[in-house]
Amino acid sequence: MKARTLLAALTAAASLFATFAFTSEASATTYSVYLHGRNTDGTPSGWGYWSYQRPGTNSVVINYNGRSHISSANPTVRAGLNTYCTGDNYCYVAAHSAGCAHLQYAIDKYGPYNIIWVDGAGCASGGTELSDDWSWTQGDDLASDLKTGTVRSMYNHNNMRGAWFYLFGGAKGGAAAMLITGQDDGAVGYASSLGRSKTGDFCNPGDSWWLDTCDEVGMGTSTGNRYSYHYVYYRDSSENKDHYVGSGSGGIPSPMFSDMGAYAY
Amino acid sequence: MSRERPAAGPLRLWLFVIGGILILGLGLLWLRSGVKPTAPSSDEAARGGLHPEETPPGHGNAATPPPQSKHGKRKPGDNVPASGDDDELVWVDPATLTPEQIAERRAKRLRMAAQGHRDYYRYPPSSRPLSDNEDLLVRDHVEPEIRKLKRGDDGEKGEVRLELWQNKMFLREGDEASFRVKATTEKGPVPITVVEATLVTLPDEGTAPQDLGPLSVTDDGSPPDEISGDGVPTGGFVASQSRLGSYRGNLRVMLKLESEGEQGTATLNFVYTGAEPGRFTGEVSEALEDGSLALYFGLELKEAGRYEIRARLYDKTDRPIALLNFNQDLEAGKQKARLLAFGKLLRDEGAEGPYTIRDIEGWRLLSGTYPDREMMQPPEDYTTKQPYSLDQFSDAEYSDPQAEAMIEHIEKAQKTPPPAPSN
Repeated sequence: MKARTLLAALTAAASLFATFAFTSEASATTYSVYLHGRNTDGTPSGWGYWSYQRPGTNSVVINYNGRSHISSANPTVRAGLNTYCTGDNYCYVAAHSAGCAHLQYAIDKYGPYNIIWVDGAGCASGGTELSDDWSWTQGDDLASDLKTGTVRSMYNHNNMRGAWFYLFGGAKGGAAAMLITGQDDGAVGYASSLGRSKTGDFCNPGDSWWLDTCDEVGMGTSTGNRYSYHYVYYRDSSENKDHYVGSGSGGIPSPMFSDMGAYAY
Repeated sequence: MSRERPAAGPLRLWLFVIGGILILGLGLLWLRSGVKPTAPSSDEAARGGLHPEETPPGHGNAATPPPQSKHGKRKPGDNVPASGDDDELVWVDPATLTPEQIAERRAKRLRMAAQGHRDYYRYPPSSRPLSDNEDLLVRDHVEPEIRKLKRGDDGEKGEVRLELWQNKMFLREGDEASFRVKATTEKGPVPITVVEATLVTLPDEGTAPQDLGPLSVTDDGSPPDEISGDGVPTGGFVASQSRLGSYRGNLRVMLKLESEGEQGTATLNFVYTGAEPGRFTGEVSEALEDGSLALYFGLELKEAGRYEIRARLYDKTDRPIALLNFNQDLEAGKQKARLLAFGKLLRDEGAEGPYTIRDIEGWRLLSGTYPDREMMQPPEDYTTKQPYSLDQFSDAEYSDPQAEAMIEHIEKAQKTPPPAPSN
């Protein structure tokens, strides 16, 4: 009787273990997580911010209040990351503009997450000189966070816990070029979008001319003044990408979309 | 073109003329000697970011380098690599690649992802090389903002460039804030005048800013100004409770500026975090634990919560070695924050003791609010009582089960087949 009870218990335990193991394996999923940028309407709905584009495996979107302070809205971002990028779940992340700052803030202060890599287009994690403009700053709380010194002092930009940020920087500045230092996409300069750990006049190779010199940004990890785990993956040498999703192939999110579609699976 | 350029001054025009003559002369000499343009070598193309066999049209292995105008502008072509680039993996339009090339590039990125995690987790998140955190070498460092003084909508570009410096970002009750404004042109530093300086609150949306009055900005050598008459005006204020009351949040310094006949405005931002949630007691104990050096900093906390403490470790030759981080929940009352100098990091850096812990800073981290922290008064530097030699420390790497699972997953992901075409 004792032996039969023991056998039954062992069988039940084995069955339970097998069920758990199967469930655990079956529930492991790799996601492509999309993190939007500043949104003056507040929290976007569905995939609207992204113009309904969602390349990559099991694409999901984290929508947070895009006009609140980073620290105020970040719990929503962390809740999303906890759902898609922890435990048995792994993720690629596509972040745009202030979405990069949100992600980095979460990783530094509340990580770790199971992030394989990050594609970051027009990252505003180094801020923008536009935020030095009083009227722009007064527009919303997130805009005031994006003053260069403020967002750079907010968290440790180097502490990405092993996850590489592949950066896409645009240089079609348009009218805002007067206001932003160095090459820019109309919202942020290369100092931010290409992961420079200093502010200043960062530019494409060949831009320096006569006495008007600038710090030319190399691809990949090839030049200094770079935050750790920040990688120059797309540098807009031809100056034909602006900041915005809505610009289609003329926006810096465009090559990021194609990259997610090709590699995030 | 979106990079700002200054208008050509007289010096620039002369240089332009002289330079033009020189270039013309050299060009004539070159034509006479019959030298042909040199095509970039295949090595150069590879350095530019692509393997020769996967180089799509217009990406780096063209017979001639990308043409440039006198302003150094390239003709259209996405993500054109340059000769100075030394990394292999850059974006290439996937539409121009074969499935095999895409698979190869993906495998390379996954190997890089695995290696990134391996490299990071050699040491724990709480004990990092300072060489990987260069911008955090000094406590309170705020990267200066650099921009043009003149930002008019008239399209006319200015010559004067501003550097806006401040002593810190986060102010606790009673902290002294200071700031200074430097101006330069291509000729070098130029004096700048602060015509007006005021301090205002910049509260959360929906609440009107409050004018806190004018600020004194001087260039007479009286504190916080350092050098009298150097053309770098300096100002400051005290974040006093009597002035700010229950307000917490942004404080903006609003400046009207004039230099070299140009006028403009600028702002500096500080964040007022109010009263301290606790304090460092000044008590520090040290212990060798599992082959690493643990330093316990005493705290007396009024408020429970998540505390972040950051400090920099220097070795006996005064070399900056490690950034030490603490980020944990603590109860109110007497507590200790454990800062870890990881054994392998000390050994890899060849860092002999005694060690000095400098630029210690700490705050209570708040979730879902702004400001997101309450600053504490920094304690004095601390030098270890024991000398410590490297053989007292372990050479073993840090081990993190989650990181290992992550690396295993990434390695498996290389075998994942691409999704079937959706059409």
